[in-house]
Amino acid sequence: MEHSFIDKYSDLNSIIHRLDPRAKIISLFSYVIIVVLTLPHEFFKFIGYAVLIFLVVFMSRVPVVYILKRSMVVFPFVFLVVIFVPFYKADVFQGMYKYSKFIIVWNVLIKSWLAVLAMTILTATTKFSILLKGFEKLKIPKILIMCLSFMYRYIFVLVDEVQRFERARSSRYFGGKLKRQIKVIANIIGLLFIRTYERAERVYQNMISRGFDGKTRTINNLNFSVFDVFFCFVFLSILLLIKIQG
Amino acid sequence: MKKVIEIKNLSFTYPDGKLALKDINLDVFEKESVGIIGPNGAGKTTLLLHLNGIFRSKNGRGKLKIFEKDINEENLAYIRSKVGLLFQEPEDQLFMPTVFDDISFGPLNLGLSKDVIIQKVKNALNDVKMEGFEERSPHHLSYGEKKRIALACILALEPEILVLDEPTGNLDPATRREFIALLKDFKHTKIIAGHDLEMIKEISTKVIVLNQGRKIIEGPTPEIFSNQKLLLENRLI
Repeated sequence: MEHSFIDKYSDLNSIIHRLDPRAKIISLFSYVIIVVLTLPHEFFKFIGYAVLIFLVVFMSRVPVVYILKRSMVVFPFVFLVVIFVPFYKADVFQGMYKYSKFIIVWNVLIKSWLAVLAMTILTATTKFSILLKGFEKLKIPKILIMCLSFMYRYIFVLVDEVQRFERARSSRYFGGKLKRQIKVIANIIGLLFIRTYERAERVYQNMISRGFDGKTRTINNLNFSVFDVFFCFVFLSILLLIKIQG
Repeated sequence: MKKVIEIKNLSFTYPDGKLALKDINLDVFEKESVGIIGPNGAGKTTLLLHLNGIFRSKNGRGKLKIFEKDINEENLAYIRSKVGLLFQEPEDQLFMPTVFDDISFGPLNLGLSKDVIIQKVKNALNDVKMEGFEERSPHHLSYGEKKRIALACILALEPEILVLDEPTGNLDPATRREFIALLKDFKHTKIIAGHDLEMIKEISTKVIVLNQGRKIIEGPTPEIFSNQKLLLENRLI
């Protein structure tokens, strides 16, 4: 069955793709932090940040439309913030600055959008397995990495399972009261949970039969090259320059 | 001939009280191929899981020795490196993001060095005729390919005994034929459980029939398969 993968374009070949995952993680996470720390009324700085991130997008050769589409995931969250804006008092003070409602919406919108753009570029240009290796080398706890790795491995297996349940249900579905429908769906969710639990048990049996003893071991085949240092240096310099100069 | 597996009066009850194995006795000698057949729920998989120390009879009922060693905490790592267990469902066996990570999982746990592991992964892929699949993601493989990679995961540990649970289940006829040819080529001691009687007939030298957790009979392959009455009684035809 077909699924969309977050690392769909990770097989392309570009400067950004060839970077060590750590270089990308460090650069792009710094980007998010710097963007969030910028005051909302410094409009020109945000233009600078946007230019910088789109420069990276173009360098990566990932279709811009794809990146833009993926970055849309942020809007439902922004919408939630916008709903509450009418209930604000006229002006909101933030430190020594006074902001109107419009600025508040703008603040949330631009910062989250730029942050999601950065993360989209990170995941779109890096294979998920490599990305996890990068995080591991940056000392993220191994158990967390393992959880993420299993999640990525089995999420589609689970989706397939749900689709099979759904097919089995609709092939015997002849209408019915809402209450009954909810009951059926609740059963499916319960069954899915049990199946997942059982699968986890079988996977664990597999792991111990291949000598797993609770310690995760990995091979390091990452290589932080001179070019990675150069990229981080240039990217972070431009970033700081925008932040300071505005 | 060297006795590699020795099972004496082995019984096993699941935590829910279901009796899965009752007084199993079995000796397996080096380079032998043993087929285990029996109806659904006969205890085939439960028996196989014992051979790798995943299930252990705790209350001291029965004895199980592999390479003349008892299965205990001390010997467990050794036994697991000697007994390669291929599970029924390859989806459960391939749990890492890439084929390379999956195959290297076992060797890594043995604490081998990077170069040795890379070579082992390569050899294992060669053995199952899947060269160049290192960077593929298991989710994108076909069922037959998954099965082969799962076998490679076992072979990378260079075990002496191969324990195979339904190795040909769900495979299309051509893939099945290739898989059987592959298994026949291996020189390991083999223990194969399954419903694919033709496959068992082709690979094994000795067959045991299980039913409701009990060993019904043990004998040379041609003898068992020519006993129509026995096969009928045990729901095998």
